[in-house]
Amino acid sequence: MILQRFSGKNVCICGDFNVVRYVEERRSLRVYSNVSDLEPFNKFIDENLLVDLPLCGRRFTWYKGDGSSMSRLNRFLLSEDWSLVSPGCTQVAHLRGLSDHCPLILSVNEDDWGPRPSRMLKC
Amino acid sequence: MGTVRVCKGVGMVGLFSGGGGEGSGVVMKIISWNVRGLGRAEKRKEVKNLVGEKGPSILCLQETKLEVCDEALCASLWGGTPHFFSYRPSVGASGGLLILWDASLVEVWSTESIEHAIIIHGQFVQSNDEFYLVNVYAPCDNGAK
Repeated sequence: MILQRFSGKNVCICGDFNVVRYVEERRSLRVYSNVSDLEPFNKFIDENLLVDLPLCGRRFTWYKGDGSSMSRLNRFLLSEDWSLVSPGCTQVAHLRGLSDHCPLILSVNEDDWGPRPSRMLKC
Repeated sequence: MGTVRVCKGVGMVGLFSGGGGEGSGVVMKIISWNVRGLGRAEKRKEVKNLVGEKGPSILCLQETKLEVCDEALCASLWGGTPHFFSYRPSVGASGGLLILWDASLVEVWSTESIEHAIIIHGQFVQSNDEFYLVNVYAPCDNGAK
């Protein structure tokens, strides 16, 4: 699926995708014999030129109650335009609490990146 | 994409001061969390504590497991500061999406509820940057998990 309507727009996609990008992003007692189930998600990200930010704070974002499985099911994906307009984005996973998923926080810290180019253009 | 339909609930509540925030350099903060149900008061309190502690501009929740989200529910999650919300109902006890945003920091022009997602379109008040935000809860396929 290509997000044509969002082409050239400032887009942030977040949530629970219920799939990982790489086998390293999941750990389970079950044995996985192939990675073909990951291809559609990777294709979606690649075709739409989405920026997949590194995850800070922890390696996985979902933990099965009995501890037998853990995965990185949750993430923020940014369009190229979003990452150009807001270059200082970081993605941090926090404590799960009562859910079995961790909250993720996307933030932009202006202090780290100085004046924004768009403001200079407006002068 | 799936069928498109207009989202049911958009509203605003509360005009009390409060809420939280951190470092002065942070211009925008978006929280995304699969809460696995908002029916229990403990869960709603946990969300409210997170909002109070982190001071997000926008909060995206997945798996609300609620067929209806109203102003009272949203106030119990966001607190007393002005906010708006948009939601996609759960199907029975499955799924359900909710987005809340700070009315003073984010201006939303339209919201759209589609299969597995809500899209909001607007701009960040401080920067005037136009944006689209998509809150996704993809169907669960245990093999891919």
